[in-house]
Amino acid sequence: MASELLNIGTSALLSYQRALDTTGHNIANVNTPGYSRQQVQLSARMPQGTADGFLGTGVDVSTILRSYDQFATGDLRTTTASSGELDTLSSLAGALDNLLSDQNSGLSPALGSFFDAVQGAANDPTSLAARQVMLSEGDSLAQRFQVLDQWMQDDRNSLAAQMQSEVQDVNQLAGSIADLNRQIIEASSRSNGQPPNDLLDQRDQLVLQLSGKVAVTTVPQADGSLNVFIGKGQSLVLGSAASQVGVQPRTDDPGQVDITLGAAGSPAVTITNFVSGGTLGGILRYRNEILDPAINELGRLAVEFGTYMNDQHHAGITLAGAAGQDLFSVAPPAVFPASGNSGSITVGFDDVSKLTVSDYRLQYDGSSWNLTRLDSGQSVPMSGSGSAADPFVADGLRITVGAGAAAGDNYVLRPVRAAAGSINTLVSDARDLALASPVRTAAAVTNTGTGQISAGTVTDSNNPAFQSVPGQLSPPVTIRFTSPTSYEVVDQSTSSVIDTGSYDPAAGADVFPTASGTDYGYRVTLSGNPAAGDTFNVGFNTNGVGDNRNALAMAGMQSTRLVNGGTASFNDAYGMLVANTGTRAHQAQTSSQVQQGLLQQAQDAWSQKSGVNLDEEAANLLRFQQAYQAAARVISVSDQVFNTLLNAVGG
Amino acid sequence: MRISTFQLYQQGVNNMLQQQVNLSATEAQLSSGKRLVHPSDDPAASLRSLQLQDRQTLNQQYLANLDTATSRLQQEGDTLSSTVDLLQRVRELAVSAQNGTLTGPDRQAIAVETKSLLDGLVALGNTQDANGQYLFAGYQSASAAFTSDAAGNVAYNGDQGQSTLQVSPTRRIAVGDNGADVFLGVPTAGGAVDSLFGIVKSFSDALSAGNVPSPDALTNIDAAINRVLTVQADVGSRQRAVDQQTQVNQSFGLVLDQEQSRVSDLDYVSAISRYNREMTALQASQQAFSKIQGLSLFNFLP
Repeated sequence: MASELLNIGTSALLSYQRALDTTGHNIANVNTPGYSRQQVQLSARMPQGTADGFLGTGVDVSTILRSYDQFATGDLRTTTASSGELDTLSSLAGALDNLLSDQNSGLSPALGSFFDAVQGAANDPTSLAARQVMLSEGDSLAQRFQVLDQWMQDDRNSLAAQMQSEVQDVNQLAGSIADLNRQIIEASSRSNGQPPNDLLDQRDQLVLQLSGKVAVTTVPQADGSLNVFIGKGQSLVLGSAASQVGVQPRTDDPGQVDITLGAAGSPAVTITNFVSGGTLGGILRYRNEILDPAINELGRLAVEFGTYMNDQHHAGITLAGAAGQDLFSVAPPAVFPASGNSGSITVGFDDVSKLTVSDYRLQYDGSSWNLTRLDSGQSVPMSGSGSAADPFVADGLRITVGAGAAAGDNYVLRPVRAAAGSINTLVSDARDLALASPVRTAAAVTNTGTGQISAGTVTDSNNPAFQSVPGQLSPPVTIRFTSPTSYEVVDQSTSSVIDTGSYDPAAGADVFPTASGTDYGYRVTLSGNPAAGDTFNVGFNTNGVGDNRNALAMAGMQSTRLVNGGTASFNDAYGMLVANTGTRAHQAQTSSQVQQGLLQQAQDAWSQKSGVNLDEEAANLLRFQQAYQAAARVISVSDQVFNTLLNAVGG
Repeated sequence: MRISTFQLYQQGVNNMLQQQVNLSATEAQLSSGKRLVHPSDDPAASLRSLQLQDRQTLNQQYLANLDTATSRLQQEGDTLSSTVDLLQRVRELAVSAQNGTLTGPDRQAIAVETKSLLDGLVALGNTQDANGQYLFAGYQSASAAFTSDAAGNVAYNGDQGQSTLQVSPTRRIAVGDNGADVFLGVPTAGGAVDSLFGIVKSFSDALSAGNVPSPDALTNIDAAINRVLTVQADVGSRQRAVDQQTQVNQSFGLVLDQEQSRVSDLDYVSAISRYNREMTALQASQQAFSKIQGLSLFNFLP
């Protein structure tokens, strides 16, 4: 009987020893990330049947459980992935936002200074100093385009490097999870199915860290292992084996990498489009939704600015009287053919105001060509037949298809991607700035009427009238009034009449194109009341160094709505780029804050179930200590009882 | 409900961190005086601010152009008044030369002065600006507008170009007149047109020959004076237009400034009171944190 009591006391002593140990373990791990508090499960031992009834035999520790809620843990993973994504997105977008808007590094001030310099040159077209300022400011503006582009390209490159390092982390985590899976399977079988709590906690913590990198889904297995999937069900960890995630440079997008996944020994597949969540998801979203559109938007502005400036510059003449050359270099659209293509294409710019910020895919299905926007996936209708004489025209692009195209040929077009990075000034001598107009008009001094002729504006600098003989109009013309209401246009070099026109003094008259359609690429307007015999001459602006008409036309482009289909000025277009990026950054910040709140809630929910509370542990410590002391007392009582018996018998 | 010790600690820390973020944002606003520190603070207002800045820059440039226009027109106006002064002197001489009591040698003596007046007029026609450009040569401003040959005949080498400056988004003002408009095409008594120099020269030539100048000489000189006066009046009205446009641009600049300030400047009163509020909140969080962290059952265990 006394030995029963001894056994009972001993069982209690050992059990409370365990309970105290577990409490101590809990206290020790109060700050261990991912640690779930553990509890000793006590149960009464099997009773011993006697004639007096079932006699209790003491207490046993049936198991040690961790406080764990599958849903709280799952929720924490999901919100960690979303929060990681939005956090990354928000901080990356914030940096771009600051760069584009900075008064010193943004494009706006450089654009303003350039046009100020054009006005300065217009005020003083013969001043070499004023011309030099215009050249230098043009240079600074081109530099600013390049610097902004370079910054964003660097950003892209560093994203690729960051993805590389994130991918390494993912591989390391996946490897550790696979390793833990193995340990857990072994430990469970060794301990007759008792849960290896601390190993399970460690694995949960690793999966949580993995969720911070990329969103994952998990499926627990019967043997205690956990399978982990990323993307749309691509397996990362199966039991004790982990696949390898990698990055691979893209051939159709320099500086860009794809994410690949493959089990050891099997070929890797591209999973970039399926990856979401975590820092990787955040980087991909920033790249696709904010950075690439911003690079393209800046590139489009560079193409539009360069093209419009060049066109206007062509319409002018230099100090030496030569036609204006290209002022800025404009990179042609970049084309990336797929590796198996049989044909070829040529892509150029058409009406640059119609350009979009999207990239495109051009595909041939054997009978027709299809152009698709890469940002929206929408198909873009093309006019024309694709031949050199009648090229495809769509969204400001002109596409000519070469011979030998086969079904399945496809091309990625990035029309404006490289433009901002490669814009440069092409004029190096200030005298070569074409600030004057090639056309000069004059009323004969001997005119007796009050008729006047406008100064003349160039509409097409490629017209043979300008191109045939440099430094000359071919032909120079005289407009001679044969009566107050009719005139003839005379070729000065041959004295032959080119055409005649009728004149209404109340309305004036645009001389070109003439009634029969003659057009020399410029416009002059007659007004007032000319008398019969009055003549007006139109000739080349030889030595017209004081003429600033073309400079004024170039300066006027600052506030003209030329771009985005004629809805915005250059500065507006840049403003919209800044505002778009700002809005995206703002959205990302807001969503990130909301997600931060959700993450906090998920952490709280997990903590409420699994976290250690020191006060609770202190109370438990007290409780188990008292029980332990009582058990010790039971042992000493059983000893006394035994002694009492010994004394009685031996006495 | 139970709460873990780490959670309690983390909540306190998170609260303090958030208060510090708010405080630092307000501090950035206070130190810069700007409501918009980053475009993402208010993308729409940032875009507006950028546009306002662009228009202000442009407006400043128009004001600079107006300054240039003022000085150009000033120089042209001065030159034209000198021209009128010389022509008036020619006219006085023409009136006195009509006097029948004058002898041939008397007239030849007058001719000496008229010749030098003609040279003076040609010099005025060849007035150069600060950059050495000829004011009245039209577009061909690099070469002299007028040249006279050995016989004293004056030829115009310029063209009918007129330079203009942009002084508002929609307005250009002509800042010069070509020589043809000022000195050529003066209608004469005979019905033909002649240059101002031609009129003075034929009068002067008649005097040099000792002849009584034709009565038409006076009429023609008057026509020449009128011609210059007309251009001078036109220059005067352009100067007034420049003054008006300057005022318009200046007040537009003021409006832009006010609008810019409204869009992007900080309301200091509300920002400072917010700053104080946030500071109090941070202090409260810190106190609460240190109090709560001091509480533990372990303090009471023997």
